[in-house]
Amino acid sequence: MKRIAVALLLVATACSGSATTGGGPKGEILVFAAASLTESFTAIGSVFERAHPGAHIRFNFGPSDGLAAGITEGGGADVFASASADPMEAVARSPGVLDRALFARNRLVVIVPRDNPAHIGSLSDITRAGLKLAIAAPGVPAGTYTRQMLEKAKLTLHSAPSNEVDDKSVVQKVVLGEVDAGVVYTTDVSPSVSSAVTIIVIPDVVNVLASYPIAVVAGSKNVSLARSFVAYVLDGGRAILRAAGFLSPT
Amino acid sequence: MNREGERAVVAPPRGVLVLAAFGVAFVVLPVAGLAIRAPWSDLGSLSSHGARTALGVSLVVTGGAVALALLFGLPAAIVLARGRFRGRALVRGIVLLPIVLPPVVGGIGLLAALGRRGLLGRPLEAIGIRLPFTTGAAILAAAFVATPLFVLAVEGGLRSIDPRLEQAASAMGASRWYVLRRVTLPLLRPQIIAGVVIAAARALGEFGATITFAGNIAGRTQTLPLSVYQTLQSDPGGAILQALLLVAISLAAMIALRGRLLSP
Amino acid sequence: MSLQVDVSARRDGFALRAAFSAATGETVAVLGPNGSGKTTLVEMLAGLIRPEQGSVALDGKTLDDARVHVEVSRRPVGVMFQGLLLLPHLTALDNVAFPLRARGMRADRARREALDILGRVGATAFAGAKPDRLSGGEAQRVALARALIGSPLLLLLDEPLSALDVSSRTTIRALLRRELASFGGVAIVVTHDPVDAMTLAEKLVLVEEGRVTQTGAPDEIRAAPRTAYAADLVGVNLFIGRLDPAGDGTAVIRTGDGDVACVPPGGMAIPTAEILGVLRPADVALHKERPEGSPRNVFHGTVRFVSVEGERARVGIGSSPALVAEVTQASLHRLGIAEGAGVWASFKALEVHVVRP
Repeated sequence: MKRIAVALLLVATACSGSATTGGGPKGEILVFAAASLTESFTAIGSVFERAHPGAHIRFNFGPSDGLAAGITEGGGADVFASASADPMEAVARSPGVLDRALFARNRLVVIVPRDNPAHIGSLSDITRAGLKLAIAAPGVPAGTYTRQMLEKAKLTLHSAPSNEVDDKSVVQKVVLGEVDAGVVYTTDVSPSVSSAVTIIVIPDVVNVLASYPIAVVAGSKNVSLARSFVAYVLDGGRAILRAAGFLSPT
Repeated sequence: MNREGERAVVAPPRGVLVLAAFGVAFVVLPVAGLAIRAPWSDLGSLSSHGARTALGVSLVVTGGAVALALLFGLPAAIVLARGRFRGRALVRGIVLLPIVLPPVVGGIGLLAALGRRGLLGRPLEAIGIRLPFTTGAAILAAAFVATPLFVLAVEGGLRSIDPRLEQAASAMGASRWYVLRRVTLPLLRPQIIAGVVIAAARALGEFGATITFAGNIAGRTQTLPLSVYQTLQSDPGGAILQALLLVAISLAAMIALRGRLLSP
Repeated sequence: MSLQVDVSARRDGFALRAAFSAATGETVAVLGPNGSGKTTLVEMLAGLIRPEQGSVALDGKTLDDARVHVEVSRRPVGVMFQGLLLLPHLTALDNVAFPLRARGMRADRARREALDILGRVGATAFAGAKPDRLSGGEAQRVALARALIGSPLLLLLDEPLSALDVSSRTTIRALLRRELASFGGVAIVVTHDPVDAMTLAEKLVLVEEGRVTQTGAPDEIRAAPRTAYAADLVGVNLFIGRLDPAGDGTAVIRTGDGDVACVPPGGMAIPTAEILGVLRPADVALHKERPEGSPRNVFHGTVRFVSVEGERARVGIGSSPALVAEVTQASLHRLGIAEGAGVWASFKALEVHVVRP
């Protein structure tokens, strides 16, 4: 009901033709974004709001596949930023998307607790038996990418890993010292995380490139603000994404 | 050692005492662990915008869930305890199902029912009401898991009320509503209070159904448990403090109600 | 205002068949052993069960018949339940006020009327207490007040004295007698205790195994019991009347049907309007000729019934007052006691147990 009121307000404003302070789209949108985008998108949101008074961006972060299911079943999302193509495909089928574009890429990295209790020195060390490992679950983009990377590197795990709900959960486990090693995105090693972990680099030749698509979700009640936000991510937001460690989309 | 004049009680056997001690320790240990690992010097993080917002959302969601539990759970308990109809056992099983259902399954069920393609969701969308990923959704998710616990607490109480008291009230000229208002509910007060406390505790701690049906949206559906989960990713110390805040709230509620919980 | 009952009712597989009537102002005791169907009758009169067949009419208005069933809450009935069923969360005052408030009266007015009635039954002192703090006798008074309030047309008392100890019983019995005497409607007292029945009621309805076996005044039944139970009932000699002390430590109970000499306990040596004298049949001696000697009470009458039980026999005598004696079979034969025969009965004044009603 609130969104109908807001939409009416926008229409009224547009019709009345009166100039409002700051100009630009107003109202509220709900952005569903992959967990790995938590810090960067939160920052992008704040900057966007400051640049567009009257606009309010709300975020729902989580595993991309779970978010896609939520959008398909639940509705209510205006923008979807996924960590891989499959979840975006699902949303494109139902309810549909507009202005779809790739906005960032990411790479994987192995992290271990700061004191490295299992003495992991390189990627292949994680195939040792008797290790406590954490990786994202199979359906989640981070999980899919991890398995693709292992295949590419022709590595087989000999310790059964804990399948986490998303990359952030893997980070948690490593930060708390509950596992010996985990595979996450490079962007997950934020400044606050880096003090608690040690990074084990994955050679580029075997690493996978995660492609992040973003789109406006069909059925959005505030298409103009949604479009405006997506446009910003692709443009002004790039600096923030780069600072967080994301690679450019091309 | 008994006080003068106090009748001696038969003490429980030693084995029972030992097991009880373990039981208590089992519950106290995690809380103690939290308290020890908490960065007490950083207590100020609790007043951060994020934590305060999450607390506010939690209070709204819990309050709303308890209200729904009372509104729908009380009549349900009355019908289940007093009604005589075929299939009563089945209905009771269904009403109490959420207790044994994994919360995420409950969340998926709520999506299936109230999502945009859902049983009720589709007609609701048609008239402009969209529930998922709103604060209302968080209240519904919490109510879904809390109401059956409320029903359980109250139903037992209803069975223990002597039905002859209600019959006596009828014989004294009381209409059915009057009997409910002036006899049944007053006699049920301890169980209703216990039910409210249990329902509130469950609603406060609800996670799986909330995150699935209402999402993890700061200021709208991110309750304290969800906030703890998210904060754990970037600030474990802060997360522990928020977790302790949850413990403190529950403890305060228990202490405030300690007497009323048992006596009529 | 009168009560007409002619029903068959069923409750949990138990069948009751009862037909009797009661006039305005009359107190009827429904008397029977436990399990005979008395409580079923109370519940049916209160409206908690519907009769299978038959009808109940009060004051000319039908409460139950084939088409009509007046709801429990709409019946002008006051009930004193077995087990009292005082609402545990309300004070005595609010318990008594409940029937008025349930029917819509304002709280303050209802409380004032309740206080009035509590005064009448001597319960003012504990009006503010909750039921769990009341003694048996106190709770009984409150329950009585609650049944009386609102001037019901029909008063139902279910085992009003059964749960009390001996001393409370005597006091409450006296209270009930007083209230029932001045009660304007029909009162039904359901009990298994013949002393209660005979001291409280003018008419007895005997119920055994779901059937009414005899109705009538206590004296009528005593004169001609129709079943062994009835005969057993009259196995207590009850004298009710004015106590007239003779000045020498003895006194006379003037029953209106004859005078009985007794020895009242100290403290009762003043004229009392109403007193109860209880005499065991075994203490009544039978003689062919007028006995000489000490017994102060000597009566002559015709044998009304003889009921033999093993070694002993009960003999009902139509003397003034009527008496029941218990003698051995041997005595029976020796004295030539048979129905219609004349016989002398005697008992000592000391054997009459005097009780304040």
